[in-house]
Amino acid sequence: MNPRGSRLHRLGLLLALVGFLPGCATKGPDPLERWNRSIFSFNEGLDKHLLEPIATGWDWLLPEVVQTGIRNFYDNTTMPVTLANDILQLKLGAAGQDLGRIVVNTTAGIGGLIDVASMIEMPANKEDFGQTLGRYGVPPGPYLMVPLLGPSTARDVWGYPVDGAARPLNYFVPIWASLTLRVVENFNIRAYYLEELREARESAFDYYVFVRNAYLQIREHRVHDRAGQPPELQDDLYEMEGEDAAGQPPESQDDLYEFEDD
Amino acid sequence: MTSTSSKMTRNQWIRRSAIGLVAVALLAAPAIADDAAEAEAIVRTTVDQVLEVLAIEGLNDDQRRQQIEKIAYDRFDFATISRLVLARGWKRFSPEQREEFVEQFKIQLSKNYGSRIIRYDQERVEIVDHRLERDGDVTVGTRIDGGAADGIEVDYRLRRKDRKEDGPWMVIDVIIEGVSLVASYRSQFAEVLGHEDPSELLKQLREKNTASPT
Repeated sequence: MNPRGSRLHRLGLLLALVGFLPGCATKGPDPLERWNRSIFSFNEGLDKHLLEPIATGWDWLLPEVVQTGIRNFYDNTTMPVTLANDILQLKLGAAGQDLGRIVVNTTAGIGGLIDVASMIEMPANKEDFGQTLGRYGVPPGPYLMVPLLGPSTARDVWGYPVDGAARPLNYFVPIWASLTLRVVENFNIRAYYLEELREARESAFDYYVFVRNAYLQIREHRVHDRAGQPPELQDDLYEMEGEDAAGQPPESQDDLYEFEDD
Repeated sequence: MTSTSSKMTRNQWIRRSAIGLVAVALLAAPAIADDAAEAEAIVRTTVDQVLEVLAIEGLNDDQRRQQIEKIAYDRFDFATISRLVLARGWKRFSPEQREEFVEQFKIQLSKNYGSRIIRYDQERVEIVDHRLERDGDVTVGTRIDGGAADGIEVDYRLRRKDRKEDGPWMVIDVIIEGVSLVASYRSQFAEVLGHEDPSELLKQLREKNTASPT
């Protein structure tokens, strides 16, 4: 089997699948809510019955130092993705720093197992193709829940094929090996967030909306490089009357003709 | 001729008012800077007080949470936060329901965030910057240094109580890594209120508050 051919095939399928999305008429941030909610509950079911139990065992079985090592190793293999997007966004200082990280961690950090770079004050940047598109003014478009992969948007979903192509590992090891690594990292990272996710699920009033809102906020924040909330999201967030809050379902207008009591 | 003279006076007038504007700006600038510095100082003090509580040895989680609550309750404007998270839904709440909501939401926040804060006991917090918002609010940016949450950015948005000129600065939102508490709850409450009454939302809030601690 020719791995490059299969990759291109996958890429083509994904593009065909999402190509029409940016063209959809957008009403609020989630015009695909029905599809998204059903995929979300599918993903949630998978998590509850498969990922979470395995991750719990994983967490119990593996010492923290092993979990950290796996996370560091995986992060180091994906660092070239950030590097490529640093360059695409013309952030050359960050690119230099991230290149330095890869060199330091791959050598002194024994193939990436130890995050030496962070210890010597070379923190990791985090860039992906969705952020690059955002930086050049592409709006996120409709919120999109992807089977198995989780929350995304019509813009961010392009990161899967494009950033996948920027992972050098994909070119040097067979596809089953890089897939195995991703699955392993999935259990590993899930184990890392066992408690946080359980708390988030329990405390949310509507977990689907909670995840959607958090995802969209985090992505906007990253696109704008942490420079506060962009005006589009902020909207009337800090206004008392909040007359036209974005993303409110039309039903909440049912007070439109009621008398106000203050 | 009249046109020339009137032009000259206009020029003079422009010059004078320009000087006046600069003077006003110079006078006003320190006041604005003071405003922001005051808000920043409040965040610094509050964060330090919380870190102190976290550093005390021999307290159990409940005792820690109670002490942090005491600090936070003076600094957070729960009435304003409640109005912001309910947005237009606020109008559908009766005065009694509003009062109950403010009280229950306060408990909810304490439960939700308090249990997280007490997990971080070896951090330092540095103030990164402050920003004057268009509506007069001040956002103070902080970053956690060291420990499990190393590098996490937490912004606090402050507003003068009741928007009075001499009102004390109170926290009206906490923004963790770009995720605003107000925006998060607002979107969820809008969803619930989209198909339920305020009484149902209050019921859910009470249930969450009395559920076994996580």
